[in-house]
Amino acid sequence: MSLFLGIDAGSSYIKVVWLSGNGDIAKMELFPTTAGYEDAVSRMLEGVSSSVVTGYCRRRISRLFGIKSISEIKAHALGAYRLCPDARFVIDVGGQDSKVIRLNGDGAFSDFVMNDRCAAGTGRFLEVVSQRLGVSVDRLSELAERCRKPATISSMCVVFAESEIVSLLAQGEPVESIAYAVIDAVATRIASMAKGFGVESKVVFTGGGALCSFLVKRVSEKLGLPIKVPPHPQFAGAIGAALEASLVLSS
Amino acid sequence: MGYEGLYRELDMDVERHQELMDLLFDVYKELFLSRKNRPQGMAYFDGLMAEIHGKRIEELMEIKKQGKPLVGTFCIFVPEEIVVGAGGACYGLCGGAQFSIPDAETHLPRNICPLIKSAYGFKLQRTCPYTQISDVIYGETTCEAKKKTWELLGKLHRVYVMHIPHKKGDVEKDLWRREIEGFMRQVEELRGSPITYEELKKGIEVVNAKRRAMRRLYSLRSANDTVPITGLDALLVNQIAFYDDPERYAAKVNELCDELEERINQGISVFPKDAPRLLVAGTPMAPPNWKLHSVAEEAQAAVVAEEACIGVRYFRDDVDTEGCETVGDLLEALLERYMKIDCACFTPNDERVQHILDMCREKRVDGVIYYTLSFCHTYNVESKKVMDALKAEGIPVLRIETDYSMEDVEQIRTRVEAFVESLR
Repeated sequence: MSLFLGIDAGSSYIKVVWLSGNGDIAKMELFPTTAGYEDAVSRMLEGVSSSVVTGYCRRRISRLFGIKSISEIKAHALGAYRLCPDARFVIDVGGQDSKVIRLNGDGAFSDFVMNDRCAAGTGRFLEVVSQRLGVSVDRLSELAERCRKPATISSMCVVFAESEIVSLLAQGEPVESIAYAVIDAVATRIASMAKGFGVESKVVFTGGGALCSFLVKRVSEKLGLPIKVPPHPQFAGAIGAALEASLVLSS
Repeated sequence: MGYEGLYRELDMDVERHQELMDLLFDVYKELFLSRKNRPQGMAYFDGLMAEIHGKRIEELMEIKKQGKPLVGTFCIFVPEEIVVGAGGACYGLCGGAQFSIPDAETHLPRNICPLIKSAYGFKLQRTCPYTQISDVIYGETTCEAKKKTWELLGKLHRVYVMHIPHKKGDVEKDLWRREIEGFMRQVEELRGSPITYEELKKGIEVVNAKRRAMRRLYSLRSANDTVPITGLDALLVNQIAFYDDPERYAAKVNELCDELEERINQGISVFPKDAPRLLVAGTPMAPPNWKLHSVAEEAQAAVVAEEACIGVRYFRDDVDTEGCETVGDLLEALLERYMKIDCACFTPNDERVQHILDMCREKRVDGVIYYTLSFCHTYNVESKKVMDALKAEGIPVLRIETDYSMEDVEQIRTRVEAFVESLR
């Protein structure tokens, strides 16, 4: 039986998806991008019919193992198409960048916009803040949901926002209010990028950021649009890469 | 490499300069010398690059010793024809490297464009022989950050400033006429004798010939589906125009073009036939700023033109000397030519948008990358007008804002690769 491997070697995590010959997801794995990740990847390449890599570390893996690489944009477009075929826009919030992609309706994309080189509006921002609040990033969302009196942070630079958070803590603001402020700030950033890009309907939210349900909710409210989150949104890029791997072999 | 004596004579920091050269040549080897299928004619430009802080500086020293003026600039508005006519040399100063920026930021705000910071940093470090050897550095008023930096630079080196107008009406034309006249007087003063009609005319002809050669290269890059030279190599040739002796340079560019014509006839392309063709529009890329071209071409897209000051804006228009009988006529011809420059420092600047649309058609490009240096407000703001016009014509465009540091290369690569994928 043929197996197609998709690797999304991101800045925070490496996501790997195995697609079986009939297109079903056979297996998924996720591990942090830390030194020596190449060995783990090398083991996963065993026994697969073809593989494609995407994500921040794609060039290194592509060169090391001689496999095809595609951009994250293409991978997320393909992945989102597979997860929600009728989607027209993808909002993807990853570890170190966030992007909005316009889909053609056939798995390809026509345009995209990206926030990069700055952790504002990315998963990294949420991670840094969680650390400062002494909670895991998974809990941030539920804390924010419980907020009764929202605080605000005005700085979107992680470094400055961190010091704003310290001063909020010093003023005795409850953790829930700060969690709300932080997620709301990220949501504002993403929503303004999406609005400027012309997002108007059929939006799907992918990437690790989609796991933060309060973030999705706030973005949806700010855009005034319903947003779908597929199951396993953080694997969308890897699924796209695996689909590309199946195409590589068939062509 | 045997130029230490010269560097000491120019009051340079020899050790730091060596550090810079080591860095530069590592990058150069990787980006240029290790590439295959380059035209043989590039050997001259590789050689010039290798000696850019060596033999070429010796040549400038010769000119200096003959009492001819050496004028360093940062802008294509400075009418080099006048300096060339006076037998001197007019060249671009170092301003394209991250290397000098941390030093510059000890004096300058961080949020001004990297070109200015880099240039100023080179003076502080005393690591650019072009800066050091200049009789005078000619600044201009294209933007706020530049014009205020010249005041600081003026404490470290002899600096004159040309007032570049920001509109193109009659009032501004009068101003620019006076500026050109003033520039000529300064050059005459440096040399110690007036510039004659014949000299000025010769200067114009030399620079016109250089521009013609550059236009020839420009058209051969996209003559048909055969792309005979990479955008990166062509960019390098365009960059070297600001350093080399203009007559020798024009001859070498023409030799390269002969070879490129031959390559086109034989169908020798440096890209596959279906490779997307890109136009890069925006701020200039001073050497060693090869970041965007290398990323784009590693993604298998061919950069076939640069709409930039180091690019078409420099060589699009010649000075028309037809009917010019006096020095005054020639200066008027210079005025006309320089007022055609479609720099984003002008308002409005609609002809630039039209030029870009025309270039897209003429070069049959598949997409445009709008390239802007961080904090270059004029080109940055103007990007919206350009991008709207391109979108209205159905021409895909990607906007990249960056500086000279290499830390965002992978982020840029993601965007450029995705853009190229969308063009296939």
